[in-house]
Amino acid sequence: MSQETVATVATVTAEPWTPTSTGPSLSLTPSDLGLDVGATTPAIALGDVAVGYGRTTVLSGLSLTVDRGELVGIVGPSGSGKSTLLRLLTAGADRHRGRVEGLGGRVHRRPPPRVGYVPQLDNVDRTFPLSVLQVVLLGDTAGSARLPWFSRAERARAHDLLERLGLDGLHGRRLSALSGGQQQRAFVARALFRRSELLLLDEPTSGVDPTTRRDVLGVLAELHRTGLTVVLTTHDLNAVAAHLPRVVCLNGRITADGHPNSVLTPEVLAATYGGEMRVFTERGRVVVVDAPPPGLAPSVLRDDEVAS
Amino acid sequence: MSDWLTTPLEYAFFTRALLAGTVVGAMSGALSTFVVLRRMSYIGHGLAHSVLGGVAVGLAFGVDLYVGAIVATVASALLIDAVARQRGLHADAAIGIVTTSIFAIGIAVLAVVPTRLNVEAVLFGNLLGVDRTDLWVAVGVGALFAVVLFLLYKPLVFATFDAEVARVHGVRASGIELLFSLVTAVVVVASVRVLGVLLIAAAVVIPGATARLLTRSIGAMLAVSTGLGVAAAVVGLYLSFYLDVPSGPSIVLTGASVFAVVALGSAAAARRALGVARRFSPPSGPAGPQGTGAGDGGDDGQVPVGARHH
Repeated sequence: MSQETVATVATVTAEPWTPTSTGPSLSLTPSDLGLDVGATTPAIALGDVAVGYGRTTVLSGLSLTVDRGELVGIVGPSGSGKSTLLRLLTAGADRHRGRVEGLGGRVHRRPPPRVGYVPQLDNVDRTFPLSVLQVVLLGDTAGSARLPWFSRAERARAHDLLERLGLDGLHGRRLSALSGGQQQRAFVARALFRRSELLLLDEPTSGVDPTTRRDVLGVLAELHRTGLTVVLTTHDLNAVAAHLPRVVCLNGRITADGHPNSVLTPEVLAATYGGEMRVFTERGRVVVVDAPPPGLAPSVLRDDEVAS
Repeated sequence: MSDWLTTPLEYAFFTRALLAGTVVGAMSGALSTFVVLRRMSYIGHGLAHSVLGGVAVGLAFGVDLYVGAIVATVASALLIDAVARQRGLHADAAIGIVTTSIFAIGIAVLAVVPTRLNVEAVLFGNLLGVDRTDLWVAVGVGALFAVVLFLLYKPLVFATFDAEVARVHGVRASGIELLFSLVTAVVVVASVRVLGVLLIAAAVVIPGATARLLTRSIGAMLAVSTGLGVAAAVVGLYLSFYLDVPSGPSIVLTGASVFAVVALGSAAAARRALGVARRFSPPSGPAGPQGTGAGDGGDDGQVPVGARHH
């Protein structure tokens, strides 16, 4: 994959995305989320950024603009810098060079004030003795009074958010008593509870079953439709990235940026993942298939089977 | 019976120790909730070692026991925080390096400089040694701890649950963690006279671990662990008085006994619940519905064969 090939990948304007949610409709409006619909500054603006940890640079030459209300997927192999990009946006990594702006303000030592973050489920102690309602309430700790309890208004707002996210009646449950999809909805609710304008999700569909994945993506689609800016990282090219309106490919740098039909090409994927991948189109949507490993190809996967 | 309770109270030293012990028990009990949830049980052990180093160095320079102890433990907390931030290192390595080094300095100083330090009292606690200063130190630290906990409860819970998300959501998680280490250091110092250096670690773990088995919410866990800390201190001090053993071991053994009973009880309850679930779970496979005869899930408590493999 040459640099020229990368340069030819066009950035495609986000198209309306059809949600695939299996869960209830969220019935959210921009005012429910406290979105500033009149804001004109980009949600994210990176200018020639190099970022890493200590003296080690993980990502360099990053220039990226994400407008308000976009839904963007960050893809790339393990170690490509996906999580580092999220940490850059939340002032959790060391910026070596360049300009980082989030929600109209410069990101330096503190994260932008209205960013919500959803961690990987694997990184959360789901046995922690908190109810779902308490988890959501903690999301706006910084904006809450310095008292050991939350106000009645805060509790009512958290109840309302849980109801809109399809978790009505589950507010008293422990996290461990919820399904994977419900847990993700609870963490999304926590992120939204601080009236976030930018939602960052680290591998939200990692390690979940297909039904849960559809549920999580459906929630994100509805939030996107409401006008929220959503940026997520994912390993899953077919089940996640191919459904998103915009995909950014990373491998130490941005290798491509645009609509999945333009970005998920053999050339870009080779530059991003360093291996051969085949790309097919199924009902207008790209499908990425790993090239068959040597030795397994004849018995496991034939070209005509893939094509069919 | 009442004589058993009132007789020790006729002695001023016991009353002082009981008051100090109650405050120390409440502090260490409340603190243990966060020590257990943060999986930092080793920090009490480490900071207690620092206390001995600080006390020894302080006495060698002719300063008060508490001055040496507080300087050493606060320095330890700050150094642990600094070392743990080094890439590739975690808090356990930082605690091991910093606190054992300060402990070693104390031992070396004790060997070289003659002091009048009652090493046994510092190591194991001493009921007779609790004076008015110790009582006021415990009360003062207890009040400070209560204020910090009241004002920072929500950020502390958030940072304990998920420090990274707390940071992104505007909580100064690293500052909270440093403050938590400093508060732990001060509580450890205030507990030295009653509990002793070597047994403080248990006092800031056992009540929280016991409460974790008994409760399902962090608020209840905090309340129960605080109560257990007080109860262990009171019962332990009476045992210390009557059995003539150092106060530290008697308090810790009281708490450990409660933990053992609760742990056995919850293990038995879990086994019972599993048995009930197996008995009432839908059978799988052809052997399930019909069973195999005698022990077919009846009143004899046998588990149906079809359910054994769930």
